[in-house]
Amino acid sequence: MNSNQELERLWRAALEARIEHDSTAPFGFASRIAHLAFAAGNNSPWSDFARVYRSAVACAVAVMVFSIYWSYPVVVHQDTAEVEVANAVLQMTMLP
Amino acid sequence: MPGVMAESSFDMPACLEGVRRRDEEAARRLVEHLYPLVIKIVRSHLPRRTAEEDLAQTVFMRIFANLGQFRGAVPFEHWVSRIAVNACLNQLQSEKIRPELRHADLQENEVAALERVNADTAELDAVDHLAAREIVEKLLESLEPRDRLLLTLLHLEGRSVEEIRQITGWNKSLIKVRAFRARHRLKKRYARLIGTGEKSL
Repeated sequence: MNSNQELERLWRAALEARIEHDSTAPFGFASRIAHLAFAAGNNSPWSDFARVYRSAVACAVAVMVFSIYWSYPVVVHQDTAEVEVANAVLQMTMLP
Repeated sequence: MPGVMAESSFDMPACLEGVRRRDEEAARRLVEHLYPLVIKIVRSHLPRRTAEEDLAQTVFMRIFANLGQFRGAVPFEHWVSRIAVNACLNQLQSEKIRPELRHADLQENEVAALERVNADTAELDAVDHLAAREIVEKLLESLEPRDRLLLTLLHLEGRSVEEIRQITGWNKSLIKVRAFRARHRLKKRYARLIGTGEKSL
């Protein structure tokens, strides 16, 4: 018997194999797919409105934080020791 | 494919209409109805390193994403089959490595089954048939994805050329030529498999 005939016999034997599979959807599979299918492409007018509203709120918060930060004067902290040294130097230079 | 479907009283047009209205319940019923068909295709053409449920999920997501393109010119099941087959083909093509099957790669029961299949007198039992199926699937895995798909559809599932044309979108003469070449490549792989076995003895 040559290899072609052997392959044919093997193929015929393979065709007679009985493979039992469960073909019902696993629990929750259909619900998950249905949910994902509509969640991925949510483009109803209300969802568009919600998206624009959220963006506007985020933008307003950013502007508010920026303006509050820049509206307060910057407090300069100076070291007291440095001030005393500067005064002493000033007094010394003012001496006749 | 009607035999694959679970429910005979399923109202497909109404269900599709519901899905187009973004009714989640209709989508759930559609998935449950189509699941046996999709999972059968996925199991027949499943790459070794892919989970069947993951690939089924990909197929269903594509169905819902492209539902707007379905015009009703062909039965909905045929349209779904084509999407499922193309998804499997893409997945098979993404797996670049297709190692050649060698005799040493076969398991003991597969070697024994191969010997019994080739012996003229031996009676084959269910385990031998399963082992033969495993060997055939391993041989198919070593082929190019299109060859594997075609031989599976034509010679394992017993589909006609016309059915394959509807599922794949290839024309009839292309299917016949590809099938001829694929059979030739499969024969060469099998001869090499047997050859490696004889060398190792």
